[in-house]
Amino acid sequence: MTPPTANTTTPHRAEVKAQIVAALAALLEREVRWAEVTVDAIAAEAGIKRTLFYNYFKDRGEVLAELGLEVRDALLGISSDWVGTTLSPEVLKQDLIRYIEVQQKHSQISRAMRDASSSEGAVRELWESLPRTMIPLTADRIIKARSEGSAPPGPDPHLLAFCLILMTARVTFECLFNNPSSLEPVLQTAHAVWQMSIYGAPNSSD
Amino acid sequence: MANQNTDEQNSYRADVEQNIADSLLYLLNNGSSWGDLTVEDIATQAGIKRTLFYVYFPDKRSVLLKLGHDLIATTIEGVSEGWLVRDEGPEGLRAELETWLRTQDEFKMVSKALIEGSNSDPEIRAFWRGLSRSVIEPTSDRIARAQAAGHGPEGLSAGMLAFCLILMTEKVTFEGLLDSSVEKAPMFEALFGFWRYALYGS
Repeated sequence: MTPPTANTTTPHRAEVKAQIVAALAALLEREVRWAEVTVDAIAAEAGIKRTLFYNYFKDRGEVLAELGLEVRDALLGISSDWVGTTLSPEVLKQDLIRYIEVQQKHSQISRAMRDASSSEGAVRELWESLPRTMIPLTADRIIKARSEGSAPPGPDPHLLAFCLILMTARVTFECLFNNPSSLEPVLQTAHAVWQMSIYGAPNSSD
Repeated sequence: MANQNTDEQNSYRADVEQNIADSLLYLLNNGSSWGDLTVEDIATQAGIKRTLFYVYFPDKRSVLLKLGHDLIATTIEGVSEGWLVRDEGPEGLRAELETWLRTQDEFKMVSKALIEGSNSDPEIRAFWRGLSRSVIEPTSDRIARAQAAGHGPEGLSAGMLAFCLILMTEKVTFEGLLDSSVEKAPMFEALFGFWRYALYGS
């Protein structure tokens, strides 16, 4: 009964698959909401027959899960650059700006994942785990900054990272989905919260 | 006579509605996921026929909203009414946060269902957002008072800071309470640190 998704990934096959994923991305980019996305529409956008779609994906949810992995990779891309850099207040600011840019760029995919998460199990898992992607690397950075003496001792670094990352993810989505113009001022505040909790309350001007 | 009859009917109706809501609560607390639950499941748990369910509720969402309103909204109203009104120093703040966490812990499975439901259901989403809104405002007022008294963080918008802190606390407690790998005591200390900074500047 299961479709033949054996490990026979020929170059051509991978190409068509990527085409289908890109087609969904294009639809979402044009602000088509998840409820209106159909397999027909994805196939038409990809320039393939509807029946051919099913050679590659079980349903539209599977395509969205694939697209969601791109968001995760983009987030991991930010944090992989962290490994070599020393955390400082200035670096922190740049990183938060990059984080927002990545989330903004993928906001239509995120919204679709949220909308699909109640009916698509794989999408839900991914959507719920995404915010946590950056927690371990954030904790490592805090530990490193403390051991180098650039940050004072403080609360458990893993739980601090847990709080900071979940706060940032939560306020970002809240703003992106409901009130995009408030994103910038909210993130300035979020940055102050990061700074204070890692470097301590600012006593002098920076 | 007619009135008494209506009262009895009303109270019977309320009993059945409560029984249905309790059945949903039981199912959620015992690991059923909101997305998988059907009206049939809830009716079976309540010991009534599926068709009878619809005499009392139009859908399963209405039952969840009743639970959310009766349990969480009522508790949050109780919490937010006195929330950060008193200024009893960091230790008073600690006690208030502990109360919040206990409330969250008690109703975490209902919260989980509401969050899951709010992903796809605008009505549940509006309800859930309303809950956090109701605590953001008193928090913002309290931060503004701390700033005016000279021990809150300078140069930050009280409203924005309240927004960040409330959403952080809501998300962290929710995720932390459901995740057995997260240690609760240090999680509380980490959260408390943010709040102490917002209200006492250190």
